[in-house]
Amino acid sequence: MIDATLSALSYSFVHLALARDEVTGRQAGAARFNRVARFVARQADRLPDHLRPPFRVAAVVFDLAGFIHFGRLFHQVEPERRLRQIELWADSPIRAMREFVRFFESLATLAYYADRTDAHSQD
Amino acid sequence: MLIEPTPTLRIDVLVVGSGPGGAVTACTLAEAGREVLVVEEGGYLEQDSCAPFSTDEMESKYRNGGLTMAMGTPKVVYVEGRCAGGGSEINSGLYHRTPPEVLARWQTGYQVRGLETDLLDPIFEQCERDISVSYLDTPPPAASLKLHQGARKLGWKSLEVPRWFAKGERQSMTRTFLPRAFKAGARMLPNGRILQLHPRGRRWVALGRVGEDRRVRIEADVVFVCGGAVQTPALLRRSGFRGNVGRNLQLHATVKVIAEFPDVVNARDMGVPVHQVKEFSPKLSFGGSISSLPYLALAMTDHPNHLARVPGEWERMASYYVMLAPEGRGSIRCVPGLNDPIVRFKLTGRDLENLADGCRKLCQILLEAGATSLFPSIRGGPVINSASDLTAIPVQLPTDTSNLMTIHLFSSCAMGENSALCATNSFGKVHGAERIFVADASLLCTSLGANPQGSVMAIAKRNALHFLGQL
Repeated sequence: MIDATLSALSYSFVHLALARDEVTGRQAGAARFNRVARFVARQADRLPDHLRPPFRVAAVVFDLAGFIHFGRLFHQVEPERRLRQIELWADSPIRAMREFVRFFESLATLAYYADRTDAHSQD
Repeated sequence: MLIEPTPTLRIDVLVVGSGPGGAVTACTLAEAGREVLVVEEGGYLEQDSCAPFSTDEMESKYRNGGLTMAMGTPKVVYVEGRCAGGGSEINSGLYHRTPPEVLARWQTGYQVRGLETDLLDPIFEQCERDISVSYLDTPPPAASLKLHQGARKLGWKSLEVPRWFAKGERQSMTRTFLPRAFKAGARMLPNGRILQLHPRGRRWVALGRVGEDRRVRIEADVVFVCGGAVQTPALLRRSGFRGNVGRNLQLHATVKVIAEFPDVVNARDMGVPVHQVKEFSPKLSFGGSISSLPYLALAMTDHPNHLARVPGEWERMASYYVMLAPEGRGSIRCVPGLNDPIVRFKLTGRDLENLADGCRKLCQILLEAGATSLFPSIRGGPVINSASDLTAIPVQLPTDTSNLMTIHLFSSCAMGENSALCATNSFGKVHGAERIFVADASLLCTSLGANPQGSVMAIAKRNALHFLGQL
C-alpha cells in the first residue's frame, strides 16, 4: 500500500509541474512519471533511521485519509481528487501534515526538472 | 590502493573517513612511512562519475541521499558527503584560510596551543599548493558579478574567493591527497562502516561491517576518527566516550533568495559563483548558489504561484544565499538500534532576527544589482520588487515557514586544553584516552563564517605532523 501511495503522490506532483510548465507543452510520457516516482521512492528509503518509521506511518495515514475525503484510498482516487487532498494537507494547521506533503513536493519537483533537462531523457 | 575485506585486519594506523581531514591525515602519515588503512563508509567514485549537483550525485555521494536534518524549530536541513573524499567531492571548492581573529578566539577561549602564525602559515601554503588553490582564469559567471556589483554600489566589501582548481578541473581529495596516500602505500577499504572502537591493551579494536552484512574486525595501534562533525562524535559516543563529545555542535545557517533580472545571468554550464560579500563577516556572509533549472524550481516551491515562471525565465534567474554564524548550539546523540545519529540544533531568537536582517541585506544588494523580483525561501513569504518591499520581510524569520539549510557543520568535538569545553587536546587526541585522535571539522572550536575545508585540511596536517613529532 505504501508503494502505491508514494507513487500516486509523485504522479500528482508531476501532473502539477506539467500543468505549470508551458515550455514542454504540458506533455510527458509515462516514462517521465515513472522515473520521478522511482527517484522519490528510492529517496524515501534513504531517510535517516529515526525519520523513516514516522514517515511510513504518515504515508499510511495519508492514504487512509482518502476514505474520509472521497470514500476511497488516496491512491485509488482520480488525479483531480488527489490534488484536492494534497492541497488540504499542504494548508493544514498541523505541521507534520504540511511537512509530509512538502517532502514529496520538493523531491518530485527536483526530479521532474532534472529529468526534463537531461539530454538523454526519452518521452 | 583499494582492498577487499578480510575478517580480521591488523595495521599500524586506522583512519576512519576519507574527507579532507582523513585524506590529509592518511597522506601525511603514509608519506612518513606509517602503515595506514583508511575505512570509508561510501564507495570510491571518481569525481566525474556523475554530473556535479545532479540527482545522480545526491543518490551516490550524499549521506541519506541528502535528506539529513538537524531537528529543531526551525529544522535545518544539512548535507554531508558519503563517498571517498567526503565533502570535498560535492562542494563548490571555494577556499578560505582560518581568519586570524577566529584563531585568536580559539587560543583564548579554548586554550588551543600551536596556532601561531609562523607555525600555521607554512602549513596553509603547503595545502594550497597541494590542492591548487587559484583564482579564475576566465571571466566570472554573470550571476556572480551581479552580487559583486550590487555590493560595490552599496559600498560593501565584496571579493572573489579562490577555488581548488587545476587545469580546468575542480580538485578534491580523490584527485589530490588520496592518490598520493595510495602511492605512499596507504590502503583503503571502501563501503566499510566502523560501528564501535574498543581498547585492547595497547591497541584499538574497530568492529564494523563492509557492505550490508560482512563483518570486519580491525586491530590498530592508533586510530584517527575523521568522519566529519556528525559521524565522528556518533562513533565516539557509540564507543563509550562522553563528556564534550557531540556537544557544542555549530553550523552556518543559510537562507536562499532567488533573484530575477531583466538580462540573462544564467546558463546550463554556468560555473559556481565565486564572489562573496564579507562586509558583515564573520556574522553574516552572502554568496551565490547552484542555479540550475532543477534547483531554481526546487527553491521556487516556496512561492508556488511563481513556479510557472521558472521554466521559461530561468536564464534570467539565479540563486543566492545569506549565511549566518549563529549563537545557537546543537548536539549529536545515538539511540541504540539506530544506525543514524540524532542531530539537534537550536537557533536563538537573535539568530532568527539576524537571519531576517541578512535576508533584507541580501535583497538590498540584489536590488542594487538590478534585480526586478526577489523570492526569499520563506514559504508563502513576501516577493520583493523594490526597496519599499523590504519591510515585508519579518523582523524575525518565521520558524514554521522558513527553509534553512547548511553544508558547514563543525565544533562537535572541539580541540583545546579547556576541559570544560573541549573533547580533545590541542592536537586532536581525545581527552582521557590514548592513541585515539580526531581530525576533521569536529575539532574547529567555533564558527569561521566561511567554508571550513581549508581549515580542516590545515589543522589535520598540523596534527598529523605533531603526531609524527615533526611539528
